[in-house]
Amino acid sequence: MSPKLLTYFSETLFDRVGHFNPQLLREWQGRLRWRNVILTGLFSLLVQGAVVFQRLTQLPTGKYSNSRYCLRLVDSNQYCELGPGKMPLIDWTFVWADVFRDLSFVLVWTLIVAGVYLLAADLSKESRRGTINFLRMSPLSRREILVGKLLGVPILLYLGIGLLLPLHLLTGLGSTYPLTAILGFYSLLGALTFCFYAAGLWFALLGTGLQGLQTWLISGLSFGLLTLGLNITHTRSSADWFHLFNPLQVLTAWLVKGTDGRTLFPFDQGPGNGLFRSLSWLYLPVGDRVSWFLLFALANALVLGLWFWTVLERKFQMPTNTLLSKRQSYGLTLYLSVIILGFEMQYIPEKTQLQPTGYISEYFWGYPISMMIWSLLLMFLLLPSKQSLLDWTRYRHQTSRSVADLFHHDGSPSAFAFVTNMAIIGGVLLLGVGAQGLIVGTMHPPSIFWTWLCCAAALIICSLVVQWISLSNFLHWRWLAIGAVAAVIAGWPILLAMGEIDTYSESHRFLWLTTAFPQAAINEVQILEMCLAIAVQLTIIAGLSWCLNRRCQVLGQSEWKALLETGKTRLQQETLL
Amino acid sequence: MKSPEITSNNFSSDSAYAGLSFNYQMTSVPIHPHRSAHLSRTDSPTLSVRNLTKRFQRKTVVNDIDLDLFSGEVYGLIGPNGAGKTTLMSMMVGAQSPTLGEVFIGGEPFRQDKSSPQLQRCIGFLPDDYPLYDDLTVWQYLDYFARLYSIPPKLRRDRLYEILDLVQLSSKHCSRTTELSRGMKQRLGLARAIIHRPSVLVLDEPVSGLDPVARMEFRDIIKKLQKDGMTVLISSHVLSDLADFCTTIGIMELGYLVESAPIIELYDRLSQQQIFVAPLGDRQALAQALSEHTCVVSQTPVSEHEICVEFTGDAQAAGDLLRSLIATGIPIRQFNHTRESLETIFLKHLDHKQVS
Repeated sequence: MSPKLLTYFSETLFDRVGHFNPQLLREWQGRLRWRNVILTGLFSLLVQGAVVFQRLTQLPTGKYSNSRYCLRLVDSNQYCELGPGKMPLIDWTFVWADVFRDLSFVLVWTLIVAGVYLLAADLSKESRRGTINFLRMSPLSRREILVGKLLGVPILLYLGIGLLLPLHLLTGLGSTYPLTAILGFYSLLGALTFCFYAAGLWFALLGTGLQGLQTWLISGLSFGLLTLGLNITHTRSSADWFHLFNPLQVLTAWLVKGTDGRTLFPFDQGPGNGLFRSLSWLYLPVGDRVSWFLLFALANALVLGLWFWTVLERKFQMPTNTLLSKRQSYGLTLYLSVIILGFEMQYIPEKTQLQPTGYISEYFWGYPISMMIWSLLLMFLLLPSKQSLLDWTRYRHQTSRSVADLFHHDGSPSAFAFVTNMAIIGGVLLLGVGAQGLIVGTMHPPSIFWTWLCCAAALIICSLVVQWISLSNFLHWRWLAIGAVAAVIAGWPILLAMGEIDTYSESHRFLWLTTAFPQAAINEVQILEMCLAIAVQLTIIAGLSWCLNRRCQVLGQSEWKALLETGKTRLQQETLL
Repeated sequence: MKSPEITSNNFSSDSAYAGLSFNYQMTSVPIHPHRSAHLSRTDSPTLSVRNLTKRFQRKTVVNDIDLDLFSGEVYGLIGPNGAGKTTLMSMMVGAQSPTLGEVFIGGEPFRQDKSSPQLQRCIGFLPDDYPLYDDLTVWQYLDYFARLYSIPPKLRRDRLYEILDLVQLSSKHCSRTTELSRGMKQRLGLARAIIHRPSVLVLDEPVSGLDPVARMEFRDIIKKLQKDGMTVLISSHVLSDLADFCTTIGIMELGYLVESAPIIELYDRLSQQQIFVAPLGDRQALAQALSEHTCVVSQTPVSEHEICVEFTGDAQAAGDLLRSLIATGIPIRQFNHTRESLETIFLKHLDHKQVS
């Protein structure tokens, strides 16, 4: 094909892409240059070559060699059996299984981590440069723009991965992996890629305050989550949720059978076969079959992906908005509560009847800890900018006076939404405890619920403090807020420990219930002490709410009114004099 | 609206005073006859803002502004730095959301997050700090925006050629945007802003940092757009440029729109007229003759042979004054009728406000 004809075809292709999505065309035009395409192709082939070559170097070579790829071992399993031509007999199934494994690692980590980096870097660059405003002001819908980004920015990465797929598929089939398993892996990889990419783009819109650091941060987080998803042990607690974030988990259950009947788990870094199989959620044995696990992981990835996409679209259109709307936070909290609690409710399949696992999750302790981490994040995600809050306090009487504003308006203080989220978490926990009583037949003591109540109260105090600090005139109020939260969460228990107030001291042990870790004393205290602790916390909450309300009133006051009142007071003073 | 009666006149004639040239020179701010021809205030406004307010922290940077822009109007927004011009413009185009108030395009409320694409197509915006995609050529860049604004494929190519021709970048269509000079980049930005033929064009200090030639080119393009009936809102610190093509001027200060009027009205109301008369002979006789004229407010000797006359009246009255002086037989070497420039009006306005 002549270069002219090739150019004509590429131009026609570009033109058609431009009809479909102008943003996609723009991204392709900037990236798909001949030099870049050739270099990407070469690099992809080089990586494939390196992977295969690395495995080929491990093949047995002579009479006295030993390798996992030997078809049969002789001399007390010391050496490879030799075939015709005195060459060792090689079990190629295992070789292909290892190549498949290596390529799968390359595929997952490169596609997700590098893709997230590219997308986040591109969007934060557009934000810093200011070109993103032209996109926002264009009549093209935000969905089209973001789809264009998603498909266009990592186009060279897609190209490289696309060149790698045939070898990956062939080695997978060559190592007796069923096609359905490989396709299942691809589908989960696609869903998780969408989820990670949407999260990466959302993270990139955090603002230019981090000076591009968020690009590295989100790539690092993606890397960490993928690694954790594959390597974390099966704890039968909420930590098992991480298993759903690595598509390689779909392949870990498969046993590759060698020619001679020997078996091999290629993904031996993963939790392996036994533990993975016993994974359950809400007492449902989701790990029992790979197809169930796949569907479960797919549903999780799609729900989170679509949720990230929704918040991304909102943040993209209105950059001054909070990262998360109050309404979106309720949905996400509900989802996270259910999924986390579900992983706390697991059973041991070896035993015939349903019963608590005997692990830490028996009393759902993982739930308040996980939810506390989420609530700490939520505290900052829901926080309206000072400007929005000032505008809301100043002009809310002209726009809307509805109480519902407190629960969904972007500019209103976040405290009400935060309390609602805490209530959702508590409600799900209550349902979980009830359901466990019905299913398992044993009702746990309500200590877990009290634990959450005390923990939620401590978190609400933190939220009010953060909101109050955000309205102050401190330049670096965010750091101050983080410091204040750290003081309440960690400082207060440390102080109690240093003051030798332990959970067994009868006089002051209720103070432990006012910390964010009430589980330390929950089983020791009496109901009266519990009520006392909650009363103390409610008093603090009431005091902080009054302070916050007063601050909002002062900030929302008209300058004219303040000026006139000052003038009036001065006039009165002068008259008195 | 009052049509401009002032026209540029520059003639010399031989008079009874042979050997002496006689100049009647109107050096008032040149106002083109077409500058108000398009305007018809009876029509509904193309773009209006009502009670537009923006606060940053507790400071109100744009305060309760009402403004109507009509088809074919070129509205010049002037004011000192920090007056709120850029914020006002950003809110009008939807780049920033107002704290209070609303923007209407053709009577429809316009908000960046909720507006229909049709309304967004009505706006073209060129901000002060204008970023470009450095990995695209001029053609690719404009083609991208033409597609963003859904210009039909059949018309797109022709429109691109037309717009490149208008902004005089046809020869550069294959160049990367990084290879362009500042003036060219600014023209490319303008091309991007008008590629979809918006009904309202908002330009935030488009000529800042441009050399006089580039400024002149830019001015010519704006005039062409004005002739096509486009509504233009422009802010600039180069007031002589604005005086050249604006039909209406708004002065912003401390977030308030303290003055907004057609430029003719602004001149009539705020600009003092002066006539510099240089007699050949007796200055006293000339002073006597001038004082008899009703339109003359005061007269001040500028030099030994020149008198500065403060004058109220239109061009007709100035012509009458000249005729009456000639009739008195006083030999006159120069008769120069001037008006205060927009810059002077603005500075006086600023002084007055500061004193207030």
